[in-house]
Amino acid sequence: MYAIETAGLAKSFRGHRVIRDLNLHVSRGDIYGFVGKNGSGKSTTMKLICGLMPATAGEVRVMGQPLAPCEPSPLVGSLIEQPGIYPNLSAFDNLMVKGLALGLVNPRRSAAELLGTVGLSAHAPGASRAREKAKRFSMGMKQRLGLALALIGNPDILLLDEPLNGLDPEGARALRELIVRLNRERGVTVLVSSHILDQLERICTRYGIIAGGHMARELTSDELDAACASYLELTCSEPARALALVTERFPALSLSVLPNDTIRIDGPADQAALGELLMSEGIAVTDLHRAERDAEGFFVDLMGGGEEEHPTTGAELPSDPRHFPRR
Amino acid sequence: MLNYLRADLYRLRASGVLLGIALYPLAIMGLLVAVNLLAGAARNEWSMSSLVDMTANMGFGAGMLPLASGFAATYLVASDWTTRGLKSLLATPHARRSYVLSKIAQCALFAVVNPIIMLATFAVVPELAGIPYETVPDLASALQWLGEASVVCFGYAALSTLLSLLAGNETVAYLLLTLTGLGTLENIGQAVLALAVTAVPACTDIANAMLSGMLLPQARAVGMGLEALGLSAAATLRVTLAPLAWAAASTVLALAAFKRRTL
Repeated sequence: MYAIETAGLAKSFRGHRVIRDLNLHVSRGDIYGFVGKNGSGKSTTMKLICGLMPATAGEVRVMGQPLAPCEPSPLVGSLIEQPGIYPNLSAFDNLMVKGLALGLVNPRRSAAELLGTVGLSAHAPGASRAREKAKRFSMGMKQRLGLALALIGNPDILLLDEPLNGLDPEGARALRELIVRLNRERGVTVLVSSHILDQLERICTRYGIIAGGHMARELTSDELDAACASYLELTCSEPARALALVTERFPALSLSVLPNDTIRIDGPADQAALGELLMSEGIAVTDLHRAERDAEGFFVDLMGGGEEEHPTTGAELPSDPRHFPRR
Repeated sequence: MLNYLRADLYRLRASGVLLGIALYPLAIMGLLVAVNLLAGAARNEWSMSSLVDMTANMGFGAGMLPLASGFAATYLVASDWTTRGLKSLLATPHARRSYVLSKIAQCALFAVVNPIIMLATFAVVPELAGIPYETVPDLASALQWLGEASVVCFGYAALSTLLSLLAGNETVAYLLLTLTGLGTLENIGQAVLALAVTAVPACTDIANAMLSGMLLPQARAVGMGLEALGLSAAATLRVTLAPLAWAAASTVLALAAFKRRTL
C-alpha cells in the first residue's frame, strides 16, 4: 500500500490539458522529490491530492483509500504555493485558528509545541515576540509558519510545494534538516516539489519526474546514483567488434552505443584492462576517458523528454540509448 | 461546523473585528450626538422621538444593520481569498461544507447580536448626553421588533456571504456586501422587473410577487420601527418568511457553488 498513489490522474482547464494520465507512487516513509519544469503540472498535481480542485479523470488514493473529489484526507498536511497565513494575526493565533478548525483537543499546546519544532519559539505565548504580527515576518519565517500550519494535527503525510523558494542558504538548510527530522523521528512521509535539484538530492529517497503533465520516470535515489555514476567513453576504429569483445570479456558491464559510434561503458570498468584488451585484439583506440554525469543533467534530460516508466520493475521503454544503460 | 465557527470567532476576536462590530453602533450614535451638540442644539430643546424608531431608521433606513450583520462573514471569506488561507484551512473531510455552514451560522449570530447592540447603544448614549427619548417602548414591543429585525438581517447577511464566496476576490466581496446592504442590488433588480413588466405586461403579477418577496420591502417595513408591529398578519408573515427563504436559498447555493470550486 502506497502512502499516496494516483492512477490515470488528469486535469484540464478550459480544454487545455495540464495533467494527463499521471501515475504517481509515494511509499510510506519516503521523502519523495517531485521534479519538473515550470508549468509541467507539479502544483496542479499537489492541489489535486489535497482536494483543492476536482480532477478531470483518474483517482487519488491516500493510504489505500480513494479520495472523493475536493475532499482532503485528514492524514495529509500541506504547504501549497503561499503559506496561507493571516497577516494581521500572530504566529500563535494563526496556528490556533487552524487547530480550532481541526477540532484539536488542546490546540494551545499543539500550537506552542509546533512553534518550537519549526524554530519560531520566540513567537510562542509569553515569549519576547509573541504579539508580533505575521505580516512583519521574513520570507523564511513565513515558510516556517506555513510548515507549522501543515503539521498541526500531526499528519502522516506532508505535501510541500516549492518550500525552499525565496530562502537564503541557512534557511534552506534549516528547513531541509527539519524535513529529514520529521521523516526520521516521526515517520512522516513527505512529497516535496522543487526546482532546486541539489537541495532535493540531499534529502530525497525517491524521485518522480514530470514532463508535460505526464510522469516521465520514477526512481529511487540509488537508481539515480547508478544513472549518474561516472562511466567510460570509448572511441575506436572498430566499434562493433569492440562492443562484442568487451561484452564477452566483461559481462558485468553495461554498454550502449552513442550516435557518433562512441561506446558508453557503465559499471565497474577498469580503464587500463579495457585498453589492453582492445590493443591486443588489434583495435586502435582513439579515445578512452572517464566522464561524469550530474543529476541535474539527468533530470533536465528527462524533464525535456517523456519516456514511459513502469514504477514497480524499473523497466522502461527507451527511445534514446544515450540515457539508459544496456541490460 | 462548530469547529470552524469556533475558529472564526477566535480569528474575529484576535484581529479586532469583533470589537469593531460591537463599537460600530457606538461610533454612529456618538457621532450623531456630537454633531447635534456641536450644532448648538440645547439639550432640552432637542429630543429623540422613539428609541425603536431611531434604531430602525438608522439600522435599516441607512442600511447599517444589514451591512454590520454581513460584515463578519464577508471579512473572513474575503481575507481567506486574499491570503489563500483556504488551502491550509480546508484540511479535513467535509471541510468545505463546514466552512460554508460556519459562515451562515455567524450570520445568524450577528443578525441577532447587532440589533441588540445597536438598540442598547442608542438607548444609553443619548441618555448619557442628557437627550431624552419621547417614547420608550415596553419590553415586549422591543423584543418583537428585535425578532423581526434579526430575521431581516439574517437574510441580508446570508446573501452577502453567498456573494462573497462567489466573488473569489477581496475587493469584489466587500463591494457586493456594500451593494447588498445598501439595497443597491435590489434596486437594480426592481428596475429590471419594472422593465420586464413594461415589455411584457402579462408578467405583472409575477413581477409583483417577486418584488414583494425581496429583502428590501421587508427591510423598509422593519425600518418603520414600532409601526412595523402594527402590520397585517400576512405582511408580518412575509417580513419573517421572505428573509428566511433568502437565507435558505443562499445557503444551498453557497454549498453547491463551493463544493467543487478550485481553490
